[in-house]
Order: sequence, then structure tokens, then C-alpha cells
Amino acid sequence: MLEVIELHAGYGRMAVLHGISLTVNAGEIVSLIGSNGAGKSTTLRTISGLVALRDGEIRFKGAALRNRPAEVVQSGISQVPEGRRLFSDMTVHENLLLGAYTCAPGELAERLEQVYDLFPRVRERSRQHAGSLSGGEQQMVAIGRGLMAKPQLLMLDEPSMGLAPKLVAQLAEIIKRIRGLGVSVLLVEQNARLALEIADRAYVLQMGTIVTQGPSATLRGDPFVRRAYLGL
Amino acid sequence: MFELALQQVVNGLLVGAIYALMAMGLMVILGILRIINMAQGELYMLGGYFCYVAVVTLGVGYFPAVILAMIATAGVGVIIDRLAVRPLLRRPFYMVFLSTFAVSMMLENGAELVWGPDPQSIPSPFSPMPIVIGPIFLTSQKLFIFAVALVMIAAFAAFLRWTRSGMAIRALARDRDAALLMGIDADRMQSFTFGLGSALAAGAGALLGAMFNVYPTMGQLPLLKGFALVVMGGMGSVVGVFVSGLILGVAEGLTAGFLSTGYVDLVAFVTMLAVLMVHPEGLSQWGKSRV
Amino acid sequence: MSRAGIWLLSLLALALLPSLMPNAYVQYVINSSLILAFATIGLNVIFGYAGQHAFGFPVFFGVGAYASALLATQAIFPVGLAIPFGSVITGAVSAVIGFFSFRLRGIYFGVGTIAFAYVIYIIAQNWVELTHGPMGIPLVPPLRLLPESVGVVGRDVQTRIAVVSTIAIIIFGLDRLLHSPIGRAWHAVRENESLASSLGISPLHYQMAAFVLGAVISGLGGGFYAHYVGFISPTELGFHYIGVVFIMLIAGGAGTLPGPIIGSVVFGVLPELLRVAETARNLLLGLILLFCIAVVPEGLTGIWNRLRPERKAASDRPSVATVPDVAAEIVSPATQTGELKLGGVFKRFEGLTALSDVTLNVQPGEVVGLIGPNGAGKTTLFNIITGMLAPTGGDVFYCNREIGGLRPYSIAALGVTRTYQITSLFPELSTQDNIRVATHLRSCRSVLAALLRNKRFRDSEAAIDQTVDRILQLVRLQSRCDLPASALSYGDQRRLEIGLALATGAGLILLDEPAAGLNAEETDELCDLIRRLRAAGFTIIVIEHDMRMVMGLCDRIVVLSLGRIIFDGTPTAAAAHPDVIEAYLGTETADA
Repeated sequence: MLEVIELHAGYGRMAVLHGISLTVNAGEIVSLIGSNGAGKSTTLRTISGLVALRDGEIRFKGAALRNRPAEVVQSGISQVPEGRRLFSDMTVHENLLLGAYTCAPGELAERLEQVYDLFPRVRERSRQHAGSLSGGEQQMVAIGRGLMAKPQLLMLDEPSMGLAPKLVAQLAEIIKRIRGLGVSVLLVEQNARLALEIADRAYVLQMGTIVTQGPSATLRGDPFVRRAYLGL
Repeated sequence: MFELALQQVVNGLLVGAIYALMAMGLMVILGILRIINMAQGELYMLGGYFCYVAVVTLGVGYFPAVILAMIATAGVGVIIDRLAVRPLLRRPFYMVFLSTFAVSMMLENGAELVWGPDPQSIPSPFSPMPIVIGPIFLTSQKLFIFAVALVMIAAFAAFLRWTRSGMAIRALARDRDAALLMGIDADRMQSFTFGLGSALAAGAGALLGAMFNVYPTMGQLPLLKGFALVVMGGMGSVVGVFVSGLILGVAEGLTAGFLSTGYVDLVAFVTMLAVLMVHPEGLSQWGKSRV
Repeated sequence: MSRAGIWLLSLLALALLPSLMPNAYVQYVINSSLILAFATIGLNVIFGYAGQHAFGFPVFFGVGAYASALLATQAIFPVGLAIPFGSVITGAVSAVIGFFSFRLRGIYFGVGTIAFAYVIYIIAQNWVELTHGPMGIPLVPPLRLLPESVGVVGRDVQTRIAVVSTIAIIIFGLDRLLHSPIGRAWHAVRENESLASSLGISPLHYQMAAFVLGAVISGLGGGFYAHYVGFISPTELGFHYIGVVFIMLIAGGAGTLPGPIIGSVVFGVLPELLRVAETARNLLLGLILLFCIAVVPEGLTGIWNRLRPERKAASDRPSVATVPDVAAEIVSPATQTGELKLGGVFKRFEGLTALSDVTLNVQPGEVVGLIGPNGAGKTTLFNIITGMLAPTGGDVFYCNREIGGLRPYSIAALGVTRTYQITSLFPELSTQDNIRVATHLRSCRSVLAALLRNKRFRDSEAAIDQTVDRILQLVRLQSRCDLPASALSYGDQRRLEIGLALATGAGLILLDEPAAGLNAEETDELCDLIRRLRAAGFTIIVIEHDMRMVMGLCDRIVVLSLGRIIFDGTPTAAAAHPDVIEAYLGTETADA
């Protein structure tokens, strides 16, 4: 469904991605792991059009995907950014509405219901200001906001960051349920163990290139992964 | 003495509401594009002149003329955005400041060439008979204009708060990247915002033009006072800017009545500088208050 | 012909040629333009050299005019004294305005200066007892250099000669300042204020200096104006003037030496040539400004420079001769080195605790690696040590002096400096000039010395040249020493950054992800450099994600996670430590 082919991208003079290739097929949960500085966030940001693509190609559902944020969302890819980035002065409800910016007004009610079903706590807090929620609740709102755009592919950038272990477990559950709703997932995580537990397949990114990839089961026990993180 | 004060207060509220309307336009442009539109005062002036043209030359009624003026000026605003602002957004911010300053010089001179340097007044449909309430003299014109200004400000606030585009504007001002991830088209919203800000300024100019006069240099001071209001009221706060506008209008009125008319303009600047000394980064980034 | 020759000839021409014009009005126009050039030169100092957007700045021209006129008419000063004293008064006024304005940040600074300018304008219009209000001050006595009897040399010529001579002296002085540590500091503050600060340059100090100097120059011009025209009114303080002076500067070429003069003469004379379009003057001026901004932001002087590439802005010195690449002479820390002690440091931002209870000792000569997952607080810790942030609690000592909460430039002066995660350099300057700017703390910073070029100054500059040479050799950039930093490859830029850190003479260097974006070979070179620095006595702390590099290079590893130190010990122990592994690879979610 999503094909990233030999992607090169960076900031200013600094090249961060040196030819990344990955795919996400319909119905999969794919993870992109690696230590920081590897380029994981940059990959998602490039796909979403926030960072200019210097070389390579991105294809979605068979067609070339243009590097422009509004078009990416309309094509069916939605990102839950690192650090959640909620509009903290707006209510939870307003945040969700903004998530559905690209949807037709008639679909709003249905989308909201689906998100509230997934996150009952969010429904309780829908009139509160997003900034007043706890970290875990904010993460749920952020994911819900991403889902409001009715994406076929949801990209999550380090959703477990700053969350207590109990919430991290809930997160795993939620991501699996999202797949159950028919949304494919591309998960970027620094927490390799979590990622390998949830995902079907994973790519390991190091210094801007993919050093290894494969089914999670295989990678879980692979000492190479540990080495890639700790440089042994 | 007391009657004079009261009269000045009432006049001041009226002028203040119009300042606030003008400042709303400046605020929304500043919030989204993060630039100071130095031509905002001239857009205010154009609003006045377009209204004048509509009423006097085209024979349109006053209120439709105000609307027409707002639409026409919004168009001018979008052109300014495309030609003088958009191409410079990647450059250091003083470039846009200077380019809009250049545009303001051109518009001011242009207006002088087209309509002459002398003040014109917009004929209004109101009777000049004063309405006397206690010690205060009002005219139906003033009351009506005040009401219209309030309605416009309220409509703007409602727009920002409840419409899809309004929320998109607030999102862009608050966190641009996150807003882009929602699928909001930043380019289009920026042009739209510039047009909106221009329309608000034009509305203020058309309203004031009926109460007093229109003349080519009428936009210089209101621009700075508008900025002072954004500083005092806080970026992103319609209520804050509105209340600050009223306060400024009243303060100016009282100064004119009791101190001297010459020092009236000082009030806005001194207050703005005082606020900035305490809050050097300006009051509240967009979004700390409710709207 | 040398630069000095061209200048002298041009100034002489400006002074004498207009006398050949028969028309007195033409003389008046040229003289007024030359006088207005003072305002443009003054604006150039604060806007072009120091890079501060003081939009209301041209008001100081009018202030100088009023000050001089009042001294001459009320206090009966002779004109020859009124003008300079007037400019001193202008300087004093600007010091007050500058003090308040520089507290403002970003857009508010520019608009704040406009507000101050407007306040001055309103006061001039209304404080009738002092300024005669809107009517202005009449009968301002003229400037006379020669007694009345010498009728041949008319007043116009006298004024022009006085004006051009003064401009010549000012330009001469400015040229000397620009080619000195002061000029380099201005450039640094303009191009990259935070880098300048961490190299020991106090931005506020140099911004204020430029502000007051520019005001004094503008005020001088205002004085000449008042005594030439014989009259001063609030118009000269008004908005119109502000716009005109800016146009003159930008069209002439901001940041260059001849730019303001060229701009003033051309745009003083131009409107007169366009007399036909008198009523559309502002329209045309606005159009010209727009054109300049869009197409030629460097102005006429910039175009001239572009057309003559071999004469483009040369570095202070000719290129360093390529030295055979022998093991480069190492530089040593110029300041004393000592222990870095952090005691219970914690840092809180609005509700988020970024660092808690960080206690760390780093001995002189150690190379310490600081690692940890994303968001652990590593860069925050660097920011606190180097002064970009103040700790919320706890203390930071270096060489037994408390540095917690000090400004970056003060901490740099005490011997601590850093490089940045995202490349931070002065892109417009050449490679060697980048390093030269960074020697600020070692240089002779006296204004008098710079103007006089005395022995102390020349010796200091020579020593700096030597230091720059040695650092260029050390970071292997001699062959590229004259390229602008923006033209260097990414790897070269990263090495240059380290060169800048060395140039400050600091003994403790913090490197924030120095290997980011480097390939394997470049990373090895970097490690080699760091080892040699350790041998020379530097203390180094490195934040890195390249584990191979960190493990092989560092004496010690400190691991931060969620704002706390979870490990402090040898690299091999770190790699095997369960806490460290967990911090990086994540926790099991099985039983939550």
C-alpha cells in the first residue's frame, strides 16, 4: 500500500536519510525502530510532506504521492506526531474536529462515535481543554485526532514516549484494535521491545540507512538489534 | 466638569470600538503570517475611500457600501499578499516589514493622486438630530456605527471560535506543523487571512469615514494604535483587544478633554511601551486566552 | 588604484565638483543629500553592521537638529560647538531609548523603536516652551568656517567642505572599527547572536554600542542640517523621513561602507530629476524600495561588488600559504582548566521536569560521553552548563567558580564553550574569519586602540593571525580558508565548528552530537582530533548517538534517562548494565 523507495532527505546541509526503502501492506502493523538520531522521525515527516524529499519516491495505493502535507492527508495517510502536538488551548472536541478537517461535514458524527468508542475516557473529557489532560489521555486524544481523518494508513511517531508502563501496555492494545478497524499502521518507536511486540514486521534504522529488517518474531531475539542500539 | 468627562467617555467608547476592529485585522495577520502588515493603515484608508466612492459615485446605500468596501479591500489585501508578502516569507522578517511599508507609501500617494489630499466626508443616511440622554449628546449615526462595529467584532469572534476556517486559522497560529498534519492548506489560509484582516480594517475605515472624514494619511496613526492594542490585549484574544480598544478610546477622550488635544496620541504609545517593558515578549502567545 | 585612493578622489569630487554647477538650487539639493547621508550612515551602523531592526532610528537625525539648534539659539553656543554637543546629547537620548528598547524581542523591538520615535515627535509638536511646537525653531545661525569678508567661498561651499570632511573622518573611523575585534563582534551578533554569545561576545554590549554610535553620527548630521537650512520643525522627526532614510540605505547597499553615501546622493538627487512626477514621489519611491527588496536587496553597492568578483570583500589578510600537512601544531587552552562540578542540578519547565538531581564531576583532561534516549535531557544539561538556561535548582561550578545562571558570554570568558547539534556558524564570513571572530576573548577590544592602530593593537592582531593559522591547520581547513563558511561541505563545517570552540581558548569544550551526519571516515578523523585535544590538556564532554564512536573514544560514560543519571562509569560496564539496556531498548509490557 505504502512504498517508500530510496528516500533521501535532510535539513539544510545535513543529509539524514540516505536511501531508505520500506513498504507497508494493507492490514499490517509495521514498525521502524532505531536509536535516536537514526532518522525515524525524519522518515515520517518526509512522508507527510513536512520535510522536502531530496531523492527517491513515495507511492501510496499504487500512485505517486506528492510531497505536500494537505495532499498526503487527503490521500489517506495521517500522522500522530512526536510529542502529541495537541492544540492545547482548544477543547478535546475541537481537536478532534480539526482532525477531520479534510472530511465532509456529514461524516463527522460517525467519525466521532468511532473514536469515542475506542477511547471512552476521551468521550468523558471531550469538553475539557486539551492542555489540562494527563499525558496518557493526551496521547489517546492525539491518536483519536489522527483517526478522525479516516486514514487508511496511520503513522505514529514515538507514542510511548513519556508514558508510564501501564499506559504503554494499553497503547499496545489500542494499536491492535486500530488495525482491526481496517487501518494499517506504521509505528516509529525507540522502545524496541514494545514495537517488536506489536508489529508484524520491523525495519531497523541506523544513521539514516536500514541495517536490517524482517518479521518481528525473528528480530526479537536477534543480538544484532541490541548491537545496533548499543554499538557493541 | 462631570458632564464633559461623561461625554468624552461615550465618544471614546465609540472610537475605541473602531480601533479594536482595525486591530483585529492586524492581529490575525500577525498571528498567522507572523508579520506586521505596515499597509494595514492604508487598507483602513482604502476602506473609507471605497465606501465613499460607492455612496457618492455609484449611489449605493451606506450599509451596502460598507460591505462592498470590505470586499474590495479584501481583494486588494490578497493582491498585496501574493505580490509583496508571499515571495518574501523565507527572507528575514524585516524584509516583509519594509515591503509592506513600501506598499503603504504607494497606496497613500496613490489615494492622494486619485482623490486629492483634502478630506472628504461620506454622506450618511442618518438624521443629524441629536439624541439627548441626560447630559450626553449622541446622534443616531454614532449609535448605529457603534452597533455595527460591535456586530462585526462579535461576528469575527464567532468566526474564529466556531467555524471550520476559524479553527484552522487558530490551529495554524498555534502550531503550524500540527496544523499541516490535519490537512490544512497553509498557503490558501494565509491568503484568506490577509484578505480577512484587510476586510476588517476596511470596515473600520468605512465606519469612521462616515463619522468623521476620509483623507489619504488617515491610516498612519491607527496602524500604530492597532498594534498597541494587540500588544495590550494579547495576541489571539478578541476580548482582550476589544476591551483594550475601549479603554484606549476612553483614555484618549479624557486626555483630549482635560489635558490637551496634542498629547492624545501619546496615550497609546506610552501604554504600549509600558506593557512591553513588563512583558518583553508581548502578552500571551496565541491561544492562552479563550478565543 | 587602492581603496583609499578611490575614496579620497570620490570625496574630493563630491566636495568640489558641485561648485561648478551654476544653479544655487542644485547646490542646495546636493548639500542636503550629503547632510542626510549622516542619517543613513548612522542607520547603517545599527541596521547594516549590527543587524538590529530599529525601524524608528532615523528620528535621531531630527533630535540632533533640535539639540544643536536649541544650544545655538537658547544657550548661545557658537555653531562650531553646538553641532558636536548636539550630537552628544543625541547620544545620551539614544542610550536611554536603547536601554529600554533592547529589552524587547523580535518584532516588538522594531515597533518599540517606532513608538519611541513617535513619542519624540509628539513631544516636539506639543512641548511648545522647549521646541516652539509645530512652528519650529526659526533663525538658526548658519555654520561659518571663514569670516564674512572672504566672500569668494560661499556658504554652500563652506558647508559642503565641512560636511564632506566630517564624513571622511567618520568613514575612516568606521573602517578601522570594522576591521577590528569590534567590527567582527558586530558581524557576529548580526549573523548569529546565540553563537556569538557562546563565543564570549556580549550581544547587548555591542548592540548598545552600535545604537549610540549610530545615533551620535545621525545627530551630527542633524546639527549640520539645522544650521544649513536655518530652521528646524517636527517634520524632520516624522514618519516620512524614516521611510526615506531606509530607502536610501537599502538601495545604496546596507552593511557596506560606501552604500549609505551612494544611496543618499542618488536618492536625494533623483526626486529632483523626477520633478515632473513631484506629486507621485512617494509612489515611485515605494516602487523603488519594493524593487530593491525583491530583486537587489544588496543595493547599488552590492551590484557593483557582484560585477567585480576579484574585488569582492577580502578577508582581513591574504590567504594562508598551504603548509605541508605535517602533524599540526596543537593549540592549548588559553584559560586555566579545572574541575566541572554539578551538584543536585534540576531543571523544570512549565510542569515538565527535564532534569532532576544531576550530580556529576568531570576532571580536567577527561573525555566524557553523555548518552541517553530521546528526551533524556542531554542538551538541556549542556544548555545549563553553558548558560543558555539557568538551573531551577542545584549548582554548577567550574574551577571553583559558580557559573550556574550566568550568561553564555560570561561563562565562555571563564573557559567553557560548546558546539551545537545543528550546525551553527557565520555563513557569510570566510572560514578563517569565522575562526577569527571566535578569538574575541583573546583580542584587544579597546575602541581607542582600534582607531589609533597602536602597537598593542597590532601585536594583538598578529598573535590572533597566528592562532587562526594554527587552528586552520589543526582542523585541516587551510586550503579552504577563504571560502565562505556556507560553501563548505557538511563535514568541513562540523570541523570548523570545533575550530571556533578552540579559538575561544576555553579549556572545557562541550560537543553536541559532533558526529551527526558524518560518514565513517570523517567520524574516525573526528575521534582522532578529540584524542589529540585530550593530549593537549582539554576537557571534553560529548553527546553522541554513534555508539561505536562513544565506546571507543571516551574515558567515561554518563547515561541520562528521563532527566536522571542512571549510570556513571566505564564504557564496557555501561554496555552490560541492565538499566542502560532497558533505557535504550525499552521495557517489557508483559506484566503492566
